[in-house]
Amino acid sequence: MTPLLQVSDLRVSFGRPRREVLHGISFSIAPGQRVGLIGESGSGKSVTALAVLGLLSETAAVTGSIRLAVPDGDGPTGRQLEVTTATEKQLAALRGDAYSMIFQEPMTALDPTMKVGRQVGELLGLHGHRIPGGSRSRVLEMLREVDLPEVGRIADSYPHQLSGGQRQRVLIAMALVNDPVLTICDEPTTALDVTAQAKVLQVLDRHFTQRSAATLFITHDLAVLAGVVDVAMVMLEGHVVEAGPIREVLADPWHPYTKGLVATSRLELARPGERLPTVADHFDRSIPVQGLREVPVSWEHRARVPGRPGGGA
Amino acid sequence: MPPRVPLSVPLRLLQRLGVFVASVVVASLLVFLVASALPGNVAQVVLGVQATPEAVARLEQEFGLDRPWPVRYGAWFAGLLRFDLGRSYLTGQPVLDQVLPRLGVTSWLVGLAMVLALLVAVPLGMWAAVRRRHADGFLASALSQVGLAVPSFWLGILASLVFAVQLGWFPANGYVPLSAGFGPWARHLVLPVVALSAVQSAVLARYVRSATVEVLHEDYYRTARAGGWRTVQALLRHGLRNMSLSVVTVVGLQLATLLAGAIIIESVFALPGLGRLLLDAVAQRDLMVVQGVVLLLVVAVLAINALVDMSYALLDPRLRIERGQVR
Amino acid sequence: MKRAALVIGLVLVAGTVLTALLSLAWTPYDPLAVVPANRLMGPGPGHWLGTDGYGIDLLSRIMVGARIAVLVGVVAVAIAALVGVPLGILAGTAAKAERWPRLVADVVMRGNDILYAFPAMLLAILLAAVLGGSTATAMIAIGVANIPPFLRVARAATLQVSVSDFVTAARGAGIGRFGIAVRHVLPNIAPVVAVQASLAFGMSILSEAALSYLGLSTPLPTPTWGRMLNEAQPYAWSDPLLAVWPGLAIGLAVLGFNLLGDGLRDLLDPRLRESVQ
Repeated sequence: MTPLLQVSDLRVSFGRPRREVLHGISFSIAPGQRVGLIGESGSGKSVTALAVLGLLSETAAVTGSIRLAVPDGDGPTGRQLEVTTATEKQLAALRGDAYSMIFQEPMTALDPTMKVGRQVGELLGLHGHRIPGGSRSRVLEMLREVDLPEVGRIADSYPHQLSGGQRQRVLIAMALVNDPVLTICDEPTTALDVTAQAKVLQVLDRHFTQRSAATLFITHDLAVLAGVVDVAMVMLEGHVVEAGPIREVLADPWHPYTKGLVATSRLELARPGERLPTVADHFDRSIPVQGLREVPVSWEHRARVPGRPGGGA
Repeated sequence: MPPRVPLSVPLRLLQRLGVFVASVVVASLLVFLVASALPGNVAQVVLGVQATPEAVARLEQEFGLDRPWPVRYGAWFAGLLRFDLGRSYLTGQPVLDQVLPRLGVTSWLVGLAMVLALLVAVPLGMWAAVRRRHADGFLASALSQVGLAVPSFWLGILASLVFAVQLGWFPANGYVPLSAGFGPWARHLVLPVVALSAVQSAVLARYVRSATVEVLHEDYYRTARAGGWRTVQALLRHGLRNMSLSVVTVVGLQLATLLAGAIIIESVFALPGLGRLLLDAVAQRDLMVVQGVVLLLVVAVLAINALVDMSYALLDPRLRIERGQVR
Repeated sequence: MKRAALVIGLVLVAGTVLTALLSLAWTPYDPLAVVPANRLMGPGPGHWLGTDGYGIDLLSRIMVGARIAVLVGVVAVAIAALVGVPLGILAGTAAKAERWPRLVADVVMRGNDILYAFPAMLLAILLAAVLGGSTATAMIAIGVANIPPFLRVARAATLQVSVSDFVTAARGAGIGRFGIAVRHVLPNIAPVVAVQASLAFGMSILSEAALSYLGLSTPLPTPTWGRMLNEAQPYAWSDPLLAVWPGLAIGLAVLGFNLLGDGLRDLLDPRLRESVQ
């Protein structure tokens, strides 16, 4: 099957003199596949996410290739769009329709001067979707789908009248309203408290399952990732250092950084009175990072590959 | 210290209205004190240097100038409340009678110049912001920087030089009221309005540019783009309304500058507006007229700014009444 | 690019100020001497910019005009800064204080808002109606009209400095409000005030030109840029260059001060530089 997204040797650099922040990463996402991307802040996760939809600022220099499958109303067409060379018009037609994105900051991500129902609804018309019964009914249905209470009242609210968790669910409704084949979630739960976090994850998980939709789910929280995705990539300093099915990565991490991540997330193993484990216990930052050259479509875990690069600890 | 409790919307509007009224009182006192408390004898000016002291004293009494200033201010202010700006010392005519026929000229000039300035500045400023890393965006920025440095009356002189004197497209000066026909009226106003609005466009364009750059860095702008709006669409649909807050503030504050500019533009193009009236009154030392017209203009500015503040309630659902950052 | 703007600004400002200073010691011709034989000469080797309707050398008049523009600018900006900055610091330090000082701060800010409604032109008209037009009229009117932006900028900068750690530390050390303002706030807001001063200087030159065009500023016979433009108007048909030179002088001088102000701001305030993302 043609992948929805095919990234190869993606490099992004900023500023003058050029400073490269992504050092040639490659991966692909198949229809319905749920891919996690984990790493610390500054590792290049968000840059990757923005690059995929061509949303990086003009100051960014992008090389390599990002290809998005172009579906029409009924399904895949076999056509692909090369994001790095596409026009704004071509990209805009895909954004918010077949491909959507959810951001980290729900507090500031909505237009403060527009009622949220309208912000959701305008995306229907923008992409030319005619809704029997009118877009209002679809908006309310969508707000219900993200488990918002009193959807009529919420649709007529301005963002500042909603809580952070409610706003994030509105943003999710905006991202999902056109039934995308792939949704990029850039730390959608980071800014939320634990209860709101669980709610948002539940809503997303249900949607992806019901629609067999794909996602690129970005987080720095391994526990969050484990519940949502099938396969995962670990990013470090602009490299993908480990990739594979999430269970295998968790059970048998091979990169020292991943080992550190896994160890620090398993607090139930910590004994009272002992110092908590840190990533630094497993991983020496002074050693230059070597990235995987490619992540095959099969997402085979490199831990099983003989002679794996940088293996062992 | 206890934090200030935010007031409800009607209370805030009422509070703003109170501030406006207080401002008008203070402003009128200020105008009166400068015009009346400084040395200089109106009666002497009216009668000329040859006048006898008795004649001067008689005229002073007639004008009521022998009363202490608080009494005179009180009388003047009481008149203002009845829309009575006083009487000219020279002609004895009510000041308002001189103001009314000239009000139209200045209002048209200022109003049209502001509209034209906005029509130019908003696209220019947005363009300069969106394309700020390209040559054309830089050119738009440079253009507004240059526009900021050019005196409007010089532009007026040059414009009349080229379009009136050389090409003969428009009359070089004078005014025809709208009642005499739209064509002649418009032809007389084109050059003054363009000259007055050019500098204003430059000022506004710089604000629009920085407001747009701010929007381009906003999360909601990124959300809009991720939803499928193209750069310019996202700006118009989600940026414009957010920007309008700070731009409207600047428009209000710029009104004072625009009125000042109108006074000089009226002089360049010999338009019979309030500016002309003011300058003639200054030349004749007709203090009552000067005092009345200056206050009228100041109150107009204060009123517009009060309306701007109140309009925030309409533009921003969060109703932040604080003013935009203004340099 | 930003640095280039600053350099251009510096060059133009230096040119204006040096021309003004030079005019005190030397001008090519007597800027007041009427020479009927030399009326309306075009630009040439003898008179670089030509002569006006009285046969007076235009370059000499432009140079003296620079002197007036700079003089009015210096005094007006000094008035605006000396009144606006202390009031701004006062309003800034008292903004978060207890009852009385806060009330004073509120009154100062309200007064400032009212003053915003009085542009230099209206103040000058008011003063000129009473005292007659003079250089002092222009200086006072422009100075007073420029108080509000200084006050606002100084207040904002003070508010910003007041929350910084070293001011908190000084307050903890028992230094009074006034002591803090003089010792810590003033030096820290100086850069912002310098930027505002440069921008206000540009505004002042524009205002002075407008006032002298209307005859509300420096009286005859001293040449000013504004008056030169006024005198050039009757010759608009035959000798348009007469109206071009003074306008260029005004434009270049104002552009210089504006670019200098903007450049200084970019240099001093790194937060205003656009981030990478």
